[in-house]
Amino acid sequence: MGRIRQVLLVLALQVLVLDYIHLWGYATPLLGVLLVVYTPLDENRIVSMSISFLAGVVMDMFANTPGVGAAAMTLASFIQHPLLVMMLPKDSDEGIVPSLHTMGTPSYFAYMAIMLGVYHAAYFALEVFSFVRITDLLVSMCSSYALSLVLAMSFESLRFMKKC
Amino acid sequence: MRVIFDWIDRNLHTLTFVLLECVSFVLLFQFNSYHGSLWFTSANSVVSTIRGWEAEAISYVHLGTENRILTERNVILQMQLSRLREQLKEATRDSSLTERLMAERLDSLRMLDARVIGNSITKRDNFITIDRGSRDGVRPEMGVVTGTGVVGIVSQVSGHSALVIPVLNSKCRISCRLRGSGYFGYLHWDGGSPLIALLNDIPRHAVLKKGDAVETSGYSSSFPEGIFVGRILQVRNSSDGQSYEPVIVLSADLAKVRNVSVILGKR
Repeated sequence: MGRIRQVLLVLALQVLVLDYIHLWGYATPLLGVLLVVYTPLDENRIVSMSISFLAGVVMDMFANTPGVGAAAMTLASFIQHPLLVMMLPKDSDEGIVPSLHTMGTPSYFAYMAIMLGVYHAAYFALEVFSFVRITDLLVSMCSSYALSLVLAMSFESLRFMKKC
Repeated sequence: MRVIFDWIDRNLHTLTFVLLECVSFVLLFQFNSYHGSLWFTSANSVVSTIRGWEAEAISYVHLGTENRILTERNVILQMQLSRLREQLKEATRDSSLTERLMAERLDSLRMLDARVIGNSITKRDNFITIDRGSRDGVRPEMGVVTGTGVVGIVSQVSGHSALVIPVLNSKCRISCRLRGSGYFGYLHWDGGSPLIALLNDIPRHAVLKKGDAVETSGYSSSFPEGIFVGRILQVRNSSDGQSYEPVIVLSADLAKVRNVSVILGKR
């Protein structure tokens, strides 16, 4: 249940709030991928990929970008499991939920940076036809990535502070 | 046989991944190539309902601006009214033929008011979603206007919402002419400022200057002739040098548009 609520909250945040932010006309935070980032290690991979795909379809409906978010979310979900296994110490708990608390700051930051990076790269690569100039695309991608990373880490440290 | 099943079992998540990506790409290319994917856009009923609530909540914030625009519009109309009264007094009982035709034309249009419930201006291909659909009589290819000028053309409709391709979309082409001289071209937008568009295919021998008015030509079924589009900001040559490509300041600010009218057709 907690997982479903989390998925819906992240979706609502993306389509009702973040989709409207365009800092300097370029940077739009794309945090829908957080629901992939928070996937527990022991969740069935096929289930988590399907959840990510459906969430991507919903985000696309609101943003009028059919297929773009869905493809990027599915890719992020596909690499999430092996990446998490690689980042975690060998003796980690099987049902571990990735967070600042369970992974420690350096490896959690690296994990988040890679996940957001893959998602943004895929998303903007598929959006390539909606930009006139390639420089606009690169500026938009990099600034959105930076903004998303800052927002995701601040959000995470807030959660962390509450736990302490 | 067993080997095959084992292989499938071991690679099930990879196969799922490939399958889901294929579905995503089908959605992506289907949307870009033909009009049949309404369900996956913001014109589907669930999304448009949520967007409707959202627009309602946000519209309160903008009441001040809306009011100011309405007041300005009122003042302009008042001024026009007094000027027309004056002209009517001067003219004989029989007003000139063109004036009568113009009044009849505007009078003969059936319009439907609609509210904008989804809008974007920052992408290359922007879309507007409105809260009227096929049940209200909206059909694809109908023109959409606002109090200040042309907005766009309806692309897809569902029961109570419709997706509009505004001027700010690379696929939007609206046939326009220069008021007075009548030379025509088509209006298109190539990104950048949401207030600036270009008029293509104006012949080299046309006489144009900054500030000339641009209006719809009536050569398509979407818009009747004579609806105001904008004014020429700067006259420049097209990239091949064969024609003029004046830069147009659009009279309708699509970044702020909230109430629009759909042209249903002749009365």
